Amino acid sequence: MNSLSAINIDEKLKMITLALLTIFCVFIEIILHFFLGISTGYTHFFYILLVLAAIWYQRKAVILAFFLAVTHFSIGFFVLDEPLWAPFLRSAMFVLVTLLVGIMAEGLKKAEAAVCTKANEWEMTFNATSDGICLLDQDQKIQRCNRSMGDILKGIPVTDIIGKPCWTIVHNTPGPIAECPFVAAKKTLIRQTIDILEGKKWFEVTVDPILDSSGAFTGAVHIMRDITDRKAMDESLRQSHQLLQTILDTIPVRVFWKDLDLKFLGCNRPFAQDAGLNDPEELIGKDDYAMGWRDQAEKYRADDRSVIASRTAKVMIEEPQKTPDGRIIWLLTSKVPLRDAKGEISGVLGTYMDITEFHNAKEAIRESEEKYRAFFVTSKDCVFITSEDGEFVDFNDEAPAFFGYLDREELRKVNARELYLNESERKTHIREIKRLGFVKDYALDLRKKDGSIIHTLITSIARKDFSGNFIGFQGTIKDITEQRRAEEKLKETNERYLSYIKEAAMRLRTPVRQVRQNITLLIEDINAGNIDQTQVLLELQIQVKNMEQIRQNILDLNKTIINGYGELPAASKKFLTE
Amino acid sequence: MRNKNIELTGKIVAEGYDVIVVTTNQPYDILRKNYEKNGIQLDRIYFVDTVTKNALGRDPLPSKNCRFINNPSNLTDTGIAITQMLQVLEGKKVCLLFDSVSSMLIYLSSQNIIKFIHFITNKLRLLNFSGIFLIVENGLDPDALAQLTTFVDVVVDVEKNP
Repeated sequence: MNSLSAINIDEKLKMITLALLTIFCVFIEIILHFFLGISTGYTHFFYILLVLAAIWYQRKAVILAFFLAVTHFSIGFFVLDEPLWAPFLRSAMFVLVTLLVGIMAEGLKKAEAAVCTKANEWEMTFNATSDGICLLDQDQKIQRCNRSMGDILKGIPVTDIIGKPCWTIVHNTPGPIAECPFVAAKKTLIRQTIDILEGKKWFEVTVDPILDSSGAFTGAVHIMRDITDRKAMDESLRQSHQLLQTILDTIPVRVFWKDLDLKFLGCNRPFAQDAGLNDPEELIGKDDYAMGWRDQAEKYRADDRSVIASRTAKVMIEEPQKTPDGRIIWLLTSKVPLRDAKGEISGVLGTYMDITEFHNAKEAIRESEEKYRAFFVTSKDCVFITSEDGEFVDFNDEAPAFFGYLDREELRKVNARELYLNESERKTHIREIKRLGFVKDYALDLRKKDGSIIHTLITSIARKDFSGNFIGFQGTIKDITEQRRAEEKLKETNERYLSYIKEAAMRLRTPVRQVRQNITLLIEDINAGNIDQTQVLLELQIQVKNMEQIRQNILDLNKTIINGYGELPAASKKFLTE
Repeated sequence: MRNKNIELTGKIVAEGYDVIVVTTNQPYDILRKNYEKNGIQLDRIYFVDTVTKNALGRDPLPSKNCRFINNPSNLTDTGIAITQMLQVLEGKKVCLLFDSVSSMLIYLSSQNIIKFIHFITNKLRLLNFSGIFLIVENGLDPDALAQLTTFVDVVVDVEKNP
C-alpha cells in the first residue's frame, strides 16, 4: 500500500536480510578492522543494516545497534588498542542513529496505521450508507462508487459501473438527460438537486461539484437517495392535507386561526365566504377590524385574548354576528388556544357554526313552549299527561282541584285508573285513542276524591315512543257537570212548558167547546119547548160556573208560569194572576 | 155527547143492566127528563151529579137514585159515591157511564183525571162490572189519551160505530 508496508512484506525475509547484513557487517569488521587495521569508512555499511532494522523493528533495532557498537568498540579498544574516543564515537553514532530512525519509523508506522484505519472507516462508511454515491470525473464518467449505488442500479456489480458515463448506468440514455444535475452543477459550480422517477422508485439526486485549488471543475460527487417512501409519505400527507382541506371547506362549521397579534393566519372556505372573500388566502394577515363584523371586532378580540391569557378553551358559545350585508346571524362559537411544537401558546383557533335557523327555531319552540306552558298552567280545564297504565306524567295546577285533591303531591300518588267509574270504561277510552290516534270531546263520567261524579268531555291524543309504540296519552278534561245540569234543567223546563201548553190546550180548548156545545143544546131545547124555565136557569148557571172555572184555570196557569220562569213587573203580574 | 149518553143508556138498560151515570156536564134534572122522554126506565138508573149543587150553590132537593157532589173537582166524594153505589148494586149487572172525561178538564188537571179514572176502572174490574167513559174526540192530549186507553178494554169511536 505504501513504501513502508512494501518493505515489511515478509517477516522471515526481513530476519534473513538482517542476519546476512549483520554477518556481513561482523565479517568486514573482522577483516577490515581487525586484520587490515582500517578503523574508518567501512562502518558506513553498518548504517544500511541499522536503518533497515530501525525501519522494520523501530526502537528494537537499538539492540542490534548496541551489538555492532560493542563489536566495533571492543575490536578497536581491546584488540587493536586504538584510541578510545574514535570507536566510541562511531559506536555511539550507531546507537543514536538507530534510535532516531527507530523513533521516526515508529511514528510513521503509527501514522500509517491511523491512515489505514481512517481509510477503512471511510470505505466502510462509503459502502454502508444507503445512498448511492459515486465520484464522477469532469466527463461524467464514474470513477468510484459504493455498494449501494450498485444496489440502487438494480444490482449491477460495482466493477461494471466504474469508467462508464452515469447516464448510461442511471438513465440508460445515449447522453445526459435534459434536467441533468451534473450538467447544471458543472455550469453553476454549486450543488444541484432534483427528484427523478426511475421505474417505480423516486430518487433525490444531489450533485456536488469538486473543484481544484484554482476553482476549476474537476468532477462531482453524485449521490442518489431512494425517496420512494418519503414521496409516498409526502403524497399521503398531501392527500391527507387535501382531505382535511376538503373537509374544512365542506363542513358547515367555519374554522379560522389567528396568531398572538390576533391576525388571521388562515381559515376554511366557508369562513372566507362569510367574510365576503373569494379565497381563504385573502384573509391571511388581516384582523377583525378589517372584516365585515368590525362593529363586533372588539368583542371577538376580547374573547380571543381571554382564551390566550387563560390558556383555556371556550366552547359552544352562542353569539350574534353582523354579516357583510348587514344581517344578524347567530353563531355557535368555540375557541381554543393554539400551541406550537414546544407547547407554547402561539395563537387561537376558532370555530363557529351558523345556527341562525336553529336559533330561530329554538326561539320559536321556546315561545311555543311558553305559550303551551302558560296554557298548561293556567287552563281551567284539567290538562294531563299519563302513561298507558295510568301513571300521571304531568298535569296542570288545576288538576288537583278538578278531582278534589288538596295539592299536586296528593294527586300524583293517585293512579288515573282510580278516577274512572269502572275499568271497562277506561279500556274503551284507551282503545278508541289507540284506534283513532285521538278522541275529541269523549263523554265520560269520572270520580272525584270524595266519590262524587263529574261529567266530563275528554279530548286526548295518543303518545308514542320513537318506534311508534303507544305509551300513553295526553289531553284536556272539561268539567261539563254544570253544563249537563243546565241542559237537564232546560230539558225539564221544556218538558214542563210542553206539559203546560198541552194542559192549557186541554183545559181551555175542550171546556170552551163543551160550554159552547151545552149552550147550543140549551137553545135547541128552549126552541123545541123541551125544557122549562127552571132548567134553563140551572143550565145557564152551570155554564157560568164552567166559564168562571175556565177563567180560574187561566189564572192558575199564568201563576205557575210566572212563578217558575219569569220576572214581571208587579202590575203585569197582578193583571195576569188575579 | 148528550145524545150519545141517552142512546147508550137506553141500550144498556135494555140489555138488563143497572146503570150508574156519573155526570160532570149535564144536571140530573135535565138528564132524567131526557131519559124519560126517550122511554128509558129510570128505576134502573143511578146518578152521581157533580154539577147541580155546584151551579145552584146549595143542596138541591134530595132524590132517591141520585147523589149530588158539591163540585166536579171533588174526586174524593165522587169516588165515595160511586163506591157506595157499586156496593149496593153488587151481584147485579151494572154498567157505569162516565159523562164525561172531557168536561172534567174544566175543574181538574189531566193527571188527576187519569188517576181517578184508573181508580174507578180498578173498582169496576174488582167487582166485575162494566163501564163506559165518554170523551170528546180530540179533547185530550194524545199522550194522556194513550194513558187512559191502557185502563180500558177497548176504545170505540161512537161517531164512526153508531
